[in-house]
Amino acid sequence: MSSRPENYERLGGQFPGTTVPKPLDLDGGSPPKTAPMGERPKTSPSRTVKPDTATPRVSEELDLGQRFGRAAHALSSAVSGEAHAETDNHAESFRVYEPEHQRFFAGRFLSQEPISSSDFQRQSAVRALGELDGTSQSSFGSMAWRALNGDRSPEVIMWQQQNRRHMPLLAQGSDALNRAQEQLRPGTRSLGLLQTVGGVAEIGIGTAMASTPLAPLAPVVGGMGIDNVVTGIQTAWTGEHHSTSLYHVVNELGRTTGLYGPQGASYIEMGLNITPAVNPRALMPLYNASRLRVQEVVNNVQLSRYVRGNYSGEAWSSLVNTPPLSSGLRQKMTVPGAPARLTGGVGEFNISKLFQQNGYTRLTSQFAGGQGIDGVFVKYGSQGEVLDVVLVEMKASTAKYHPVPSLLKETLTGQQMSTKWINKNVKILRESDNIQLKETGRFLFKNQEQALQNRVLIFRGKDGQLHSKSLIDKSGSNGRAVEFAEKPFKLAF
Amino acid sequence: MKKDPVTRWSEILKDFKEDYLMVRAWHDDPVKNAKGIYIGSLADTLQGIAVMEYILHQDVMKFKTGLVEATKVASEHFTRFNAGEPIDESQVSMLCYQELLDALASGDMEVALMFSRLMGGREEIEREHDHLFAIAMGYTLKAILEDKLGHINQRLYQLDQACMDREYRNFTGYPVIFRGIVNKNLNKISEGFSIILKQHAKECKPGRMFYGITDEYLYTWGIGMANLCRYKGFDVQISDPLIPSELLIPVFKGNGE
Repeated sequence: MSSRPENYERLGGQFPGTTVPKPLDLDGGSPPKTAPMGERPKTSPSRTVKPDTATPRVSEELDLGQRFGRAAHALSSAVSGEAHAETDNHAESFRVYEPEHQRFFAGRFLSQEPISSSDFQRQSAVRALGELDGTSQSSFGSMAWRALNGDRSPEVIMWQQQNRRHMPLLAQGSDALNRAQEQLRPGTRSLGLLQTVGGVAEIGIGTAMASTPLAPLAPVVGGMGIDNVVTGIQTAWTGEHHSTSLYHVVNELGRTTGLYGPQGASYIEMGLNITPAVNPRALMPLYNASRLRVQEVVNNVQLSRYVRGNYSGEAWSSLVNTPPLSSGLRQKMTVPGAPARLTGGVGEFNISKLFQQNGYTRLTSQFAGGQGIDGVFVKYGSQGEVLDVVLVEMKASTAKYHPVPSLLKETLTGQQMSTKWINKNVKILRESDNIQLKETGRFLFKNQEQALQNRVLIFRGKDGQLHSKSLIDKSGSNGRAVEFAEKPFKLAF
Repeated sequence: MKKDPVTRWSEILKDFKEDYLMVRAWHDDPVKNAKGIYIGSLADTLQGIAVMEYILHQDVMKFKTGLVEATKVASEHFTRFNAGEPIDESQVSMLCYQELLDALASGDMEVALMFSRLMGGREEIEREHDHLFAIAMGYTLKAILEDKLGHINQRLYQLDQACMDREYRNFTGYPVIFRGIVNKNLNKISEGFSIILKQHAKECKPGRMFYGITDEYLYTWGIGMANLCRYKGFDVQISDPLIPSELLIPVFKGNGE
């Protein structure tokens, strides 16, 4: 069994298993020269790899799935470093090698060079082969998601190849589609024009939706249409690819949350653009879910952009490494120099959460542009009776530069949070054509005695932290002091 | 989907009428209204009903009587505050120039004068609660209505200053009208009205003072200013549906030129 292989001379006089595939060549590299079928190579298991200068590599890209047929069995070899009892596969330092390859007489490596490749360590080899063996915890969906996001890690590639083997028809279809895409790829300007046309269609759909029960979505769809038209014209005009604002937002969300990458953002954007044409109703749950979060997300994204634009290195690192949202509020509220509207928005939503965690319901009370009462929080009893009403004014401005009373602006409807100001705002709410605002107005009108007794200003103090202050009249007769400490919740800032 | 204005305002008027019965009862209850918290809400409800009755039904009488009643109710803030009752200070600040304009819009100059005489003279409260615009506007209206023009130029200068504030940039027509009255210049008054009508349109945009409320359909302040001019003897003619001529009082012959 220790005789030279039949093709020993032709292969340059080297013993099998001495070929080094090209680094990062997951296609298996050059077919190594091995012993005849069933015969163990005589080289040392610790180091059998030598550069192959004898034969050029024969590459066949699409038959990897077939070649990987025994990969699962090779795992045990990979781990033990010995030949598998049934297949006689070998592994060198977790490099998987299959001597009985169907197409290549000499067998071949299934994995890349472990020494030269840093991203294919023992762990990933085990994971990858586990995937083939069906033992991996990764679901089809998660692997598909990673693949769609452009993940080119070995396990994803091997998973794809496995799919190729099991679904040859699908693989052929996919290849044909790719080839067609390559051949038919239109110019950038044409794509821009196409995008413009799509955008116009979206605007049309949005307009049509305005008179249907899906009317709330009409501005969203129309807005996406305008976004596409503008971007399409830009692309067509300049001949360079431009991304839509929707893409930027989706991408920023992915980047912030770490859930997906640019490719994923691109797919999401495409899905959002196609859905209105296919089934607009599908957008409704998404719209409802995101409605309340949009401002928060926008604020966070804007704040994140501000911070990234103004900080670098360690300063940036210390700012972004904020733990959870609750303490993130403190961090965000103290970003030096950040525009108040950003920190204010972030603070507002976190304060809202704080109230909600303590059993309060927030009523809609702000008009477009932020006018109105910042926060109307109501606590209901088990029978639906009103237990408590708190009116909140939130200020991101720091009391370092302003005395607390001057944080309250004198507006055209009076000084904020004064009784007169509340009266006038309640009247404006009652006259609103927005049903939610109108209901809030009528609620406050009917419960004004309670509402006027609980007026709170939340502001950033000299220490940069959030503070609360009860706003009562000088006479002390129109309100009672509301301290958070007396409440069933605390502002732990 | 947005409702048509008639349906929308009909529903709101119905709500206001329901609210009126409730708030009237609270207002008339001496215990419940011991701190006067229902005075403002009753006055606002009456004002709202009056304006909506005109917008929906062109009911001039209900418009005028409603505003008169609203002014009388609002004046309780002052009388009770002066009597030492625990009335909220913000209710007696110079922001009441808005109620005075409503009173002028009613066309009942006696009620307007009664209300005007209650306003002012509370410097500490005004300093704490009022923007310079409210102070200047309130005192200027009061001075012209009561014909006490001693410090009028100082107040008009203050009003000019206040209108430089970004939030008040759409109110520069008012000092023009006031100067027209003081200088007895009808052309200036007419110019002032064309300015306030243009600026009113801007204030009816989203995020501004009159957006989404009755003032989009009926410019009550403008009606009040026109009545003030006519009361002072200036035959101001305005052809704009926001200031309907049927709501304007006849030109008073005893003043002006």
